[in-house]
Amino acid sequence: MLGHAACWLSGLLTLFLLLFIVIFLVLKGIHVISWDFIATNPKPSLDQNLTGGIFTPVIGTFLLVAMGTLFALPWALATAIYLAEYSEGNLWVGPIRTGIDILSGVPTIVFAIFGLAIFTNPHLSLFSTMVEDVANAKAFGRSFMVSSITMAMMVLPFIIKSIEEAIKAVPSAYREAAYGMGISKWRTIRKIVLPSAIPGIITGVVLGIGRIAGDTAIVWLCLGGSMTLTGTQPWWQPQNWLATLQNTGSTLTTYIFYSSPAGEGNSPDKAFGAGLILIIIIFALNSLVDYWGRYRTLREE
Amino acid sequence: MENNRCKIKVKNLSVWYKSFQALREVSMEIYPQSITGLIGPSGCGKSTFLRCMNRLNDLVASFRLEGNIDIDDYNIYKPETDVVMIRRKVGMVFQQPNPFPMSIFDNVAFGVREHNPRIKKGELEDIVIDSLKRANLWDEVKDKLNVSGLSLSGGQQQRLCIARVLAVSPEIILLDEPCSALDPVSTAKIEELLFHLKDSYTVLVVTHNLGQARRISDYIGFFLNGNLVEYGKAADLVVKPSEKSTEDYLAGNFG
Repeated sequence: MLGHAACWLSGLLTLFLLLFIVIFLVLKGIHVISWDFIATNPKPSLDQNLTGGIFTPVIGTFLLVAMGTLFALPWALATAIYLAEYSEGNLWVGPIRTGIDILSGVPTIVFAIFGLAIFTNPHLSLFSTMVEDVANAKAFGRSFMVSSITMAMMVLPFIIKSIEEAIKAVPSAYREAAYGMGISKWRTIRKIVLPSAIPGIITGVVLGIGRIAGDTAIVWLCLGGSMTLTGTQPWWQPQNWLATLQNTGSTLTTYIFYSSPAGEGNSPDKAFGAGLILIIIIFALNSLVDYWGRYRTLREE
Repeated sequence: MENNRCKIKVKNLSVWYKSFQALREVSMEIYPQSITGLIGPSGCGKSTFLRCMNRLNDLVASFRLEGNIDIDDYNIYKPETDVVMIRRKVGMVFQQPNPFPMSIFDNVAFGVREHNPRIKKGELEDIVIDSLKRANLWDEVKDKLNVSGLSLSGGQQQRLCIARVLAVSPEIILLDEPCSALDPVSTAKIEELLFHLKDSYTVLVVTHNLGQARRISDYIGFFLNGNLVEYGKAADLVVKPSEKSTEDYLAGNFG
């Protein structure tokens, strides 16, 4: 009886924890949120009222989420297919699985410093213009491209696991039916197994999105401390997109860090406002992807 | 029996899963344009035998086989055999209806498209319609071809699975207890359908239902503990089985 009550209380407490965080953020941050706050670039100033808004950090968050998922998804999908469908009896499965498990436990700051070290190599200057034009002094190879690739490595194990689960959950009756009709294994996976696994694949993507949007260490190290987008301006014109990706910027997480007193900033209210927006964005992205997944499955049944 | 015109010739077929022997030196000749029923109690090896005909057992990691299966005088267990080609020739219908989670039309069209990606739309439609007609399902689904196959009743789903197999024009059709998940009315429809199919195909049916075996089979093979105990014309085997165990099984003394 006592145990029952304790468990119930813990569950309730968890809900309160979430509510507490959200309410706290709302109370502290809601008054800075306005259309202007979202649509203006951050400006450097010691006066909180003159520090502008969070436009480029929001863009940065979306950029990293999109690019990181773009790099991670095909890689994770292929790995998951191998593990779920082709790995049986293969000598390499053990090491690969252990590797994925360890990878999922690596702190993101370790990924970050690794990414920074690798992409500072002048041969990889394609990914970051920071490395170019450096004669003797070495600049760190930071950019959206570098950060997204590093993010992709970071979310890879989580996406692989959820896609593998989804593939394994597809009834074997579908596979047998396809094999029995003389459909090759690869075509069966492509046309029958993967379409049936889409809801699970979407879960994996949502998981990745949340992790990328919420990560700070990788952004901090691999994207740097400039709040605005540093590529050729105006950044939104298509001919400047590549330059934007090769240059630095910020996301909401680093914006929060650099605006708060902890990160030498002096705009705590704006940090709370940005935190609130970040939570809303993550929640919205999750719901959107989830809704799209449900809609797809519903249409097929 | 009519030796020279057999479609499938099984010789000394033994099968193991790990150390368990599921089939023991089974030899059998299966004739075209007929229905061969395979009967016997659970675990007797009849399903294993059926799944050897299209090499679906290859999917089981611990599976091992000795002996020969010749289809049209070609040993399908030759190492260089293209398994995918064999399975096009030997279609299969399973115990649980398992339509793909797609529309009725796409269920039937799927295999055709896969085997012939450049097929013209009209041609594909003709094949789908023809297959659904031959599976006695056309009248029930002609107005809802775009509806998911999963929305059909169990019996309709099973006929959809048969249509799907017919669409890729096999020569042999394997059915693994196709009616065990169905009600008597649906069962009767499928039995009637099989009766028509035997004009054009070689049909092998594993069944738990003795009445069904008696009604539809031209030949019956009785399996017990991995052995083919008795095999012959259905009429002879049912009326006067030559083995004691067959007689006991038919009498319902075990099963």
